[in-house]
Amino acid sequence: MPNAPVERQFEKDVVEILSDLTADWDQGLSGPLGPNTSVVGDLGFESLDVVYLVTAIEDRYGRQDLPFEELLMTDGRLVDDLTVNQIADFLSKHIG
Amino acid sequence: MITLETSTAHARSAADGAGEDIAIVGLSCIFPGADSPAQFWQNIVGKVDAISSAPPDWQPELFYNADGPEVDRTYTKRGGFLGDLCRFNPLKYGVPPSAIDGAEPDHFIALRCAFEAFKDAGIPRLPIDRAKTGIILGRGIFVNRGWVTVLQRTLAVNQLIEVLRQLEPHRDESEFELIRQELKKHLPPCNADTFPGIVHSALVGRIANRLDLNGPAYTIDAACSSTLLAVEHGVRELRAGRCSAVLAGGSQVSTPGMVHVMFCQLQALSRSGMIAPFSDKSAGTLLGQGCGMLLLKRRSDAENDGNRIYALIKAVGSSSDGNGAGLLAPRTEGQQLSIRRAYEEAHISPSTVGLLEAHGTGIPLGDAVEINSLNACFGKPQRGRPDVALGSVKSMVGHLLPASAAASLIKTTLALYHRTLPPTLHAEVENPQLELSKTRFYLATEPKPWIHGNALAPRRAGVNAFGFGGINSHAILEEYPHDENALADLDRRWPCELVVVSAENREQLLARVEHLARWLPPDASFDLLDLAASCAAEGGASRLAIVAKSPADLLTKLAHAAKLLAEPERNRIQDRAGLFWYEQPLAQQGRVAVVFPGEGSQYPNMLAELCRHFPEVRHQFDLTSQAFEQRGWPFAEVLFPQPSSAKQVEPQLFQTEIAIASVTAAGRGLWRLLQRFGVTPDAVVGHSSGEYAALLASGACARQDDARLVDIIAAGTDSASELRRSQLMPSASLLSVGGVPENLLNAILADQHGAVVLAMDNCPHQRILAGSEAGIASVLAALQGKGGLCQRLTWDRPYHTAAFQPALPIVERYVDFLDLRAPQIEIWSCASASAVPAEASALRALAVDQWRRPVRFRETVQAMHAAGVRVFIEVGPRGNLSAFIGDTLSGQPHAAVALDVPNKNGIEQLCRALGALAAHGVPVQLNELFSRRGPRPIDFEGEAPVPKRREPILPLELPLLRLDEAAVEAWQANARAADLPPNSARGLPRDLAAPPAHPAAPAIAGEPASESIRAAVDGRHSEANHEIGAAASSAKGIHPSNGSSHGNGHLTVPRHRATSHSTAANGNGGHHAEREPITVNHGALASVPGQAEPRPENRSSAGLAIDPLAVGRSAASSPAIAPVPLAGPAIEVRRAAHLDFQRTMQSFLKTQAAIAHLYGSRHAGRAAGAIVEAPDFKNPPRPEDLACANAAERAMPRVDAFEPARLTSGFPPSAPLPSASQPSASQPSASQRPAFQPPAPPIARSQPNKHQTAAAGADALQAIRRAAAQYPFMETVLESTPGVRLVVECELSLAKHPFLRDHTFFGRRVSDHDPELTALPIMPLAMTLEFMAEAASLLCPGQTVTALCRVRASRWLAMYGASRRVRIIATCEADSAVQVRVVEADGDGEHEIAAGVVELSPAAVSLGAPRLPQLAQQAPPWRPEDVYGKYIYHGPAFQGIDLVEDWGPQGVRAAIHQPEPATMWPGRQVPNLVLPVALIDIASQLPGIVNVNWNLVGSTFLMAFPNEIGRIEFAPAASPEGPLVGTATIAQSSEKLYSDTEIVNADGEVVLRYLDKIEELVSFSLALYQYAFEPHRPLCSSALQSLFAGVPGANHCQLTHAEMAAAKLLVKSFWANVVARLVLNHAERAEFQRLKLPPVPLASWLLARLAAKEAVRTQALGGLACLADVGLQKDSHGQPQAILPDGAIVPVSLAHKPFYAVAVAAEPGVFRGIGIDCEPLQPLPEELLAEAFDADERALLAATAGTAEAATAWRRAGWCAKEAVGKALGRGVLGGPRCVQIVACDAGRQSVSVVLAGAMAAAFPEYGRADARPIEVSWRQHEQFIVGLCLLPKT
Repeated sequence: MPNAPVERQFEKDVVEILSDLTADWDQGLSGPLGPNTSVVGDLGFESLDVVYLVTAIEDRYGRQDLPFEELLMTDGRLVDDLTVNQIADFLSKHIG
Repeated sequence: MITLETSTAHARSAADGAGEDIAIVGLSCIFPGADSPAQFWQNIVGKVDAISSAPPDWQPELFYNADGPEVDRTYTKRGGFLGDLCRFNPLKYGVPPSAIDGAEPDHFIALRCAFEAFKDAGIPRLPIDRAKTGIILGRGIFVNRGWVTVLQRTLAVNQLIEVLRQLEPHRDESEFELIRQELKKHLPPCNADTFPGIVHSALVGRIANRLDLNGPAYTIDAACSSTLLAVEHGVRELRAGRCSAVLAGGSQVSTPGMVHVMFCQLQALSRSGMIAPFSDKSAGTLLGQGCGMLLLKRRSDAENDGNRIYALIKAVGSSSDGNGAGLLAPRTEGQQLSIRRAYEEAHISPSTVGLLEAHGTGIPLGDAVEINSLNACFGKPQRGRPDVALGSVKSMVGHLLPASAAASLIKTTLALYHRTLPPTLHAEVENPQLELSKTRFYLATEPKPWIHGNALAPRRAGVNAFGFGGINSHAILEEYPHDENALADLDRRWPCELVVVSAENREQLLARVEHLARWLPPDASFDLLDLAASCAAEGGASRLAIVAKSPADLLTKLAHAAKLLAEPERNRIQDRAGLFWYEQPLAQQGRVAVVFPGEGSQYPNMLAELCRHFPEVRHQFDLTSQAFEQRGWPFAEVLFPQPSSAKQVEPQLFQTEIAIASVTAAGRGLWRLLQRFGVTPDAVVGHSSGEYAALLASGACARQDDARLVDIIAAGTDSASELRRSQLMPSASLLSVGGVPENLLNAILADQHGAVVLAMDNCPHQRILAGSEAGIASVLAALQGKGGLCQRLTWDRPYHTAAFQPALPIVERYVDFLDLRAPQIEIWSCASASAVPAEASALRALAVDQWRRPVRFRETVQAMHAAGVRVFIEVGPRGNLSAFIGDTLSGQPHAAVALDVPNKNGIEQLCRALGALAAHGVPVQLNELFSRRGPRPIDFEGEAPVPKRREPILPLELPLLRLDEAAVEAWQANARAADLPPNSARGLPRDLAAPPAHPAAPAIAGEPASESIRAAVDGRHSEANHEIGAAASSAKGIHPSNGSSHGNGHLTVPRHRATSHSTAANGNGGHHAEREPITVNHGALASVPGQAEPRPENRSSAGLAIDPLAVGRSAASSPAIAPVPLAGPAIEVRRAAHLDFQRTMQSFLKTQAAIAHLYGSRHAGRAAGAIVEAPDFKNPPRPEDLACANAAERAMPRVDAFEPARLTSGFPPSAPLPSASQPSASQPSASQRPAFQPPAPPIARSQPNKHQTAAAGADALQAIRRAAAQYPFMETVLESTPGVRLVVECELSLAKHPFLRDHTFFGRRVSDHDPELTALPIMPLAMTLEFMAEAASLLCPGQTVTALCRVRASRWLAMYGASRRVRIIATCEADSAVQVRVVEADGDGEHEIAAGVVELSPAAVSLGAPRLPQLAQQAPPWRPEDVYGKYIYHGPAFQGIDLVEDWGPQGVRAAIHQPEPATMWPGRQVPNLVLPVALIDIASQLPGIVNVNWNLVGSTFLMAFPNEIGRIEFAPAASPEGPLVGTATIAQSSEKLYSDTEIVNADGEVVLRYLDKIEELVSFSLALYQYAFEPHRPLCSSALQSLFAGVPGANHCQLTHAEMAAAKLLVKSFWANVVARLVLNHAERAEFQRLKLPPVPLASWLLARLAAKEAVRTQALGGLACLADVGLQKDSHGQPQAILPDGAIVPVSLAHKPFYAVAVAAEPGVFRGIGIDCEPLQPLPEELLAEAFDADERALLAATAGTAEAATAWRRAGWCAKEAVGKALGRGVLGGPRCVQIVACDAGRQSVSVVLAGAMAAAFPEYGRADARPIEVSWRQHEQFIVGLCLLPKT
């Protein structure tokens, strides 16, 4: 894991982004977000929330060219869910 | 294929030949995993696989061998087992409990099902003609518990004994008899009571009897078709008018291993462990247990009577296979015949069937033949695709053989009732060989709403049952057209419930939430549905909505919400986990609007859950399906596909027709649902095609009845088809663009010059573009690298663009068809982003126009918000619009709530949506969530809800022949004795055996020679006196007690029940008869003087001795008790007794006054106590009585034998609720509490500090050790993780814990001389609870222990030695619950002593007012001082019962007090205990007193030892001073004592409450127990004294024998220890510990000591000594002698056989020696005879005896004589039996005279001389023994 610290940073970033996006909801019962938090299963993301996530990531890193379809699509269909880890991996691959 | 006309009529009259429809009006069942139809249905739709491995009591070890070659084994132990669900309360159904154990379980489960079917049918509220009600049940004859009991008791036991006799011919008959009796002991009874229960036909007879039905009652055996044939018979009876109701069903309650074995012979059972009908995994069937019944009536009667009709039976067809291939092979021709006959009889076509419940056993051959038969009858797929859901419930519950169709019928009935297609398990991939795709049948693997589009015929279903031997049947069922919304939904367990807590304002809401959180049982044992429904009934403006998935989840969320509500700065709670509360509800500030999504939001299986629970949702899909059906198009199978076809049909869901139709149907359905909840919006708007639903909802379409709606749907579908086919509009590409800045997108669009346009402006983050493919491609390219997220959409229609313009006329025509008019609700248009003028023309224009104009949803939402809309409800699938609204109105006050979202259970989302609406102040009729599921209202002002105690489990297993350990030991002990070296010749060929030991065999160390010889000759265990001190060579260790009780036993003597009057002959109440024979205790007058005239009503029986029955019934009615005339001395005794009685009465009245004063202060606020009546078996409850009883049950606590008056652990609202911020006044002050400060604030369990450094850890351990010093039992802290886990050890000893001396088993005085001799000290369970409480307090500092619950006492904590160690392991279970286990720390393992959960709270909690009913029975028939004087062994530290005021079968009430704490710790500083230990113990003594009779009658009594305690609660001041009142209510079975107990102080407050205590009843020797209280009283009877009266010298001796009725108890090592500690001195105790004898010899050893000590103390001390003060020792020859406290030596001799001992003690100096021996009265085996006696002796004995019978006695007597002489001479029989020669026998004197020879003569020459006088030995028969006594005079 040569770039483990970098990934850890992305993980922190993603958690922060997701926390902002879900600020409308209390987290008291679901506990803090972590690397295994899933955006649909745990955070109840709907399709529009994914757009928010994409734009928030773009805003944070100042990058408009990230190939999000890699992250969001498999076999021509939207993936069912994503975890913080998966998003951080994606970011470290394309930004880190 | 059957070709018949399709029936169009729902009902048919008898006139048209088909016969009247038969209505199913009641259901009942118990199947694996389900004990009610509701649970069964929940399991079916929940896909519960109830197949499991056989439970241990099925005895798999006897039947199961997976791979073995034996043909008598089953290769699978899987099946459908009833297990824990198989419960039956005999009293409830008027069955004597004694009739159950040896009978067939089917009888009782069938009876229970019959009652429940009646109850389900509303009887007695609804009428039934009992005279014309029949019972017809399907049942097979299989091997079963009842008949196997008979077989075991008769054939098996006797055969086994014969085999044993063959194997071990040398054994005594008594040994075989012992084994025979021991074997029978474990078998259920087999008698007149149980006989009806094994008679096949009596099964239905019993039902007719109990329910008083006069119609025909019989069983049918038609193998697997039995139940359907029973129904067929029932249908016939009803149609013929012979019956007006028929209970039909089937029963197969047990499936013993033998049945499995036989099915395995056919290889019919599945080796895969599951049943997978019709699937590629089919590998056979599995057997299941169960019983199911249907109550049938004619449809017209049912309708007239107002019955609920589940479904209708149209016909049942049956046939036989005729001459098939084989008896057990299915034959398709026969099967087809039964199917055809059914449809022919019903005049309906199989084409109208939508569900087929197959026989479907999972046996591949059977499945294939069944599909063949179905194909032949049902024909080809009608539209090229399968349309009948196929399944088999056997996949879930197994094959119930004769009852299998009961499961099939009930499943199918409920499927029709709920309009749901049920799933089948393990059928995901069909068996390809069946080629189902070419048939009409598809495998239903998921539950689906049963969408029905056939307007001509109702939903119909077929049920197959094909039996072994070629008996076939098929039933046709049909739905009943009832108002579904008015009927119960049996699937009442939802995945979650919406709990809305309401109050007027925030403060009150907080208080309400806190109250609820405390009031509810903390173990989450309440019913969530009931609670949710009850909360919904309350009102208030401030509403907290909680979506709770379980009671525990609710408790967590309540606590969380309370915390958040208490935060002053917080103004809302909105948690995804399902919590909603708003300080400023939006509905109070603005309007509510509904938004309908359009095409594209549909998805497969949308709203499926809602369809199942809300018929109005499903009904809208039905209507759409009808419209589609008219056109031959699929609908239901596209929208609700089975998983196997989902992928294929999904594209169809996006075709224009079905896309719009399904979304509109969803919108209509959800709109109706919203109306059900009373939500009425101020405005509606539709997004794109959602506008159609909006128009319908707004009331703009004139007519909306079902027929009109079908027309509208059909027209819309035609319109969509026309659009699609017309090609009037070009195809378009669509692109969703998300997250691209608006100006950038506008610029890019501008560059397209109209080739790409904006079709939908959904929200800032999403727009939909439409255009040419090239244009879209170029937009995509332009957006590349500009961020955001673009997605191409899958459909190609240029809606909402100018390209649509040419197709507008098609839309116009459809809109015209809608016949629009002014809406009733304001309707908005996304085309104009404004409200539509309320004119038909404007509406029409926009409805058409919107198709060529962009959807301006963003602007519309903004405009609506501007117009005051604050709450948006999305009424349609998927929830996209809610997200758009949120995006659009971000930052502005609003709420967007979606009724449905994908990936979330439909019910859960509905609850969340309604919860959010309610929290926002939208009026919601929440009761609609619950009303169809039968919630039981909870009274929040009353007790917190508790679950009902469950009924007793009915045993199903086959009775097993087995021996308990003691019997095995007894048998083996004899065998071992036979094998003793070195002189044993047994087992060796004679010529190889050691030569006979005589004349002078060397004695081995510690074992006198005579015993060796004896062993060699007799082959049995040594019984002679010499074994005192001789350690047995067999060294099987004494087993530590593994009893299931704890050291808190107290006395309970079997009570005579005055109610016992029935006999077994009438089958009623026989179980009530006293088991122990009743004998009048002559000694009672003297020993219990106070009871000669204890009660005035007893005066009539003054001529009788104390008759225990006299109080309960007149003397005349007790002929079994012989009157005993009063002799002179007895009159004296009576006078004394009378004086004593007067004294007692005075004391009684005094205490009575005190009690009355106490009660006076409490009466005011108390409800009337329960009136309790003993069950009346002569008049058993009928269902109507049950119904009344149920009503009564609601009104008052009900008490019967199994359901004692129930207490609950609630918090009445009047109780002050201490909050965290307001410490309770009753919290101990700093000065009262230990001075230590908690080392750290409590750390939440979820956050253990894992990164603690080692040093910090050590510090923490030090801190906890300091804290532990404050607790007396927290001695050594071994491990500590604060707030998580704590392990402590404690050493317990008499020295450190002096209170143990007051808790010894039994008796407080063991010795008059040595105070250190105590009975066995046992740690009170109350003190073990203290260990737990201390550990929990140490683990959670700063908290108060409020209760202990789920306490399980596993074993005694007895102090066998000087000290013991226990380990206490405490683990935090939740914030306020600590699980604590107390285990042995000094044994061979960590055996658990007790375990429980300690509940803590920041402050103490009041227990409120008493809840137990006020008992009003009678005063007890003994004196107050007898409680501790005679009945309860506890010493002063645990004595607190002052006066038992009320006493009877329901319980006791007593005045009590708490002893001074110093009593427990004499001579030392009193430590701080966390719990009021003494009070807990005293409370626990109360229930058992109920069984203390006024005479100690019989030879045994019952002691009660606690096994389990449901809960103990403590009040704030739980160490009360002053007078208290304790009440215990009880219920008993033969083995258990159930009780609840409350202790109330003078203020009427409960200070201590025991709930659900379960104690084990143990039978104990009464004599021994009485000895414990009065150690000078005779323990061993001296019956032998009179037996030997007249024998010279006998007047200088004392003879005793010990044969206590409960002596067999002694084989339990614990009880042997108890008795040893009562009667042995220090040296003997040490020897007892060293002996290491097996249980039976050990017990006999003890008995012999009892007998000898008793003989000695009576002889030497006139009985005035404790047995422990009489020492037994041996002299230099191993001869026993007794030593008295003053050092005097007393001659003694003793002998024993298993469980029988005799002894003799003589006046010192009178005799040369004394000897006693005993022998069983059994023939002496021939070879031993030859060893023992020479020919002369044998001839002499035979001649004296005369008869063969007497010869046995004389031979044994001869043997006894030789042994007794050996003992009397002090050396045993030296040189073998021939060295003592019998020279004379005297039949008159019953004596044998002997002379000495050989070694004996050499050792005792004075008796060996030729002229020496023979020694005379007297013998007598005592019971089944010969006792020989040799009193050798001084020479």
